[in-house]
Amino acid sequence: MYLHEYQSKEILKKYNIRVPKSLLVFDTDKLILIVNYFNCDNIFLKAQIHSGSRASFGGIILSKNDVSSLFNNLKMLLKKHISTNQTLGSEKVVEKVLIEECVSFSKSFYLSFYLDRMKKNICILFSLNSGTNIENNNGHSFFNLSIDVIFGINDYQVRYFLTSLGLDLSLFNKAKELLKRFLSIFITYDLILLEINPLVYSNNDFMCLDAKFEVDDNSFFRQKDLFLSCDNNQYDYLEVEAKKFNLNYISLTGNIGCIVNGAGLAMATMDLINFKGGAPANFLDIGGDATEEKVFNAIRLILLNTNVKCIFFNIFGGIVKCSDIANSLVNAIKILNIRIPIVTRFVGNSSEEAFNVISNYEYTIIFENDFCQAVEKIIVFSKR
Amino acid sequence: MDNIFLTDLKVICHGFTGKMGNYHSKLSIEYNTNIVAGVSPGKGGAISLGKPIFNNALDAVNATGANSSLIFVPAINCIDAILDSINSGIKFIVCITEGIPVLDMMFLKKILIEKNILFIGPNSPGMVIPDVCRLGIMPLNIHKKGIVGIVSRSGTLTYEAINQTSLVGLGQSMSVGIGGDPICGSSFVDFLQHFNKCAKTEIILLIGEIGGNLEEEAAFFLKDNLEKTVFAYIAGYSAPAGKRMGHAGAIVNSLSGKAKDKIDLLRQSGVHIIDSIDVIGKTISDFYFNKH
Repeated sequence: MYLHEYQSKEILKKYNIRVPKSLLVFDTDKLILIVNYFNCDNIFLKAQIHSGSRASFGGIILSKNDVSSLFNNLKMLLKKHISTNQTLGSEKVVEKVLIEECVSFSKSFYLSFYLDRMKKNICILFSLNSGTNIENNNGHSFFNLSIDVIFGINDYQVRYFLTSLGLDLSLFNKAKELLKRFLSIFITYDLILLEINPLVYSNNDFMCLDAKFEVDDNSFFRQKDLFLSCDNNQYDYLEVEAKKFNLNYISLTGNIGCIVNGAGLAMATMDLINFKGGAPANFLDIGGDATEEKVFNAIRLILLNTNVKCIFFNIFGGIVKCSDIANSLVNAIKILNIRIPIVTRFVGNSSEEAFNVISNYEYTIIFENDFCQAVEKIIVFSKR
Repeated sequence: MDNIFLTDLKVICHGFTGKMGNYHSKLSIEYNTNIVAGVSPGKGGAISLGKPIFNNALDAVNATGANSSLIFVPAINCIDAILDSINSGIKFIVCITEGIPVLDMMFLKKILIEKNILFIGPNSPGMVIPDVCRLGIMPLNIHKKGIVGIVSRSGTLTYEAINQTSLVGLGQSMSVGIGGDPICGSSFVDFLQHFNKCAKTEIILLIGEIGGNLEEEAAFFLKDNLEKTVFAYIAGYSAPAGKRMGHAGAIVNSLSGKAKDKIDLLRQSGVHIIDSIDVIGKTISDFYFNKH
């Protein structure tokens, strides 16, 4: 789960890390109070959406700090639909804008703490280059430090950090304190990414001009407040709905609705459909414990996507019985009054009983246990 | 690791009295797996499925001489159960639990290395040695004693591969799921090393997926250690970048994790790539019966 910039900065403030003076606004009311609050010539208006590269896609506006400029610029930003190179084709609607003072600074850097899967450790990545599109600067000088999870931030690491960034060693205490606080936040809030881009040096201290935190989804049981603050409007509606029923759902662009048990098999099914020239409308893993309720909601979700022309059921009955899922499917067809083609593949536990359940039902469901042929059949339906 | 599979397993099960733990332990016991006791804090002294229940792993090990453990405890209490198991001196742990925070796994991994513990999982379907033992949640009726060693990051995809290799008559020497999380206790390489030494394994099947670098690590290892015929299937070729595909670990970012890169590296190391999930069994059997 991602936090918004303003949420990430609230946490930084709690740890006495400097961020620009700011206000979060939802509308264009009481602008005179805002102008007076900032009491400076120019201010930044920053769209609060879950995406990087906001500046390149019209998500950040530099505005004069007077009521009419502020009004016009806020009008332009609020309710705006923004699609960036990082939003995977979807659009994010701006519902909150963070207004910030302009900070002058002498030096700016990129800094992130992240969980490195290969090193199985928390690492720090930093660079003299900062700003948007840093992801594409593969050739640029990035420096890396691996955190010592027993001793924390060590002195030699602080010296390496400062000298790599061309900073004076007289900043040692400030830099060490800063890195220690970032590490403390990272662990306390179960982050997998803490990104400050840019981190700047101004008025003899460090300051975070932007902040992007990603929280480990598995930590929800001990980060309840963070997860309650999650902005669901930033996610695909169907993906949010699916989470309520413990379903792993991801919207894709095709027209074949897919219902599969197990993430790996769901991925492989998606690949095979693509490989054979079809286009999945979604990735959906109903899990190993597919109950009647889950199956029903899975079908309901799939049908909410208006692109779906047919449904492919691929169930490997391990612990869960294929016949139970077949019964759930038949019930859902009755309740939801489904009239689109369905191809089912039931393999493993009770697959013959599943065949009986389906063949006794008046509505035609294609039953095909050969993986390849089942996929070919559903593709034919998807192209009709 | 080899010592572990050569010696007779004596298994304790954490979460033995829970719904899932009890159900699967019952099936495993019916498969002749030597589960000797359960661990459920607060329920010590009780009996379930004819096995004694202990409050902690150390008591269970002292009373039964157990040498391995199986963990079904929900994520919120799982690390505690794992540490309890480690405290008892056990050196082989299989963890089925899904949803352990990744920072906890990061800290745990350091302990596992320090204490030289073989840890399968978390978020794993467990392992099966056909006709010998079943630790975990794999379905029972798909296994067949045979020659293919299967190691995978997925659950149902592993069942699919097991089923296909059984149907073509080759069977498995052992099937193991190392788990779908970003940080796992063991890697492909751990089991490639095992299969290289295991006389019953003639062919190795590696089932990978997008995200992380375990497949790249395996390719690097196989470059110098390709002792048997290795096949690989990698899931998620068509997955969009930046989306987590069900498994916590299955995500492609801008720099790594792509299926294509994994496939290219494995192929360069002499691994036979299976492009499509539906022909796993057929591809391996065509190769095997052409040779014999």
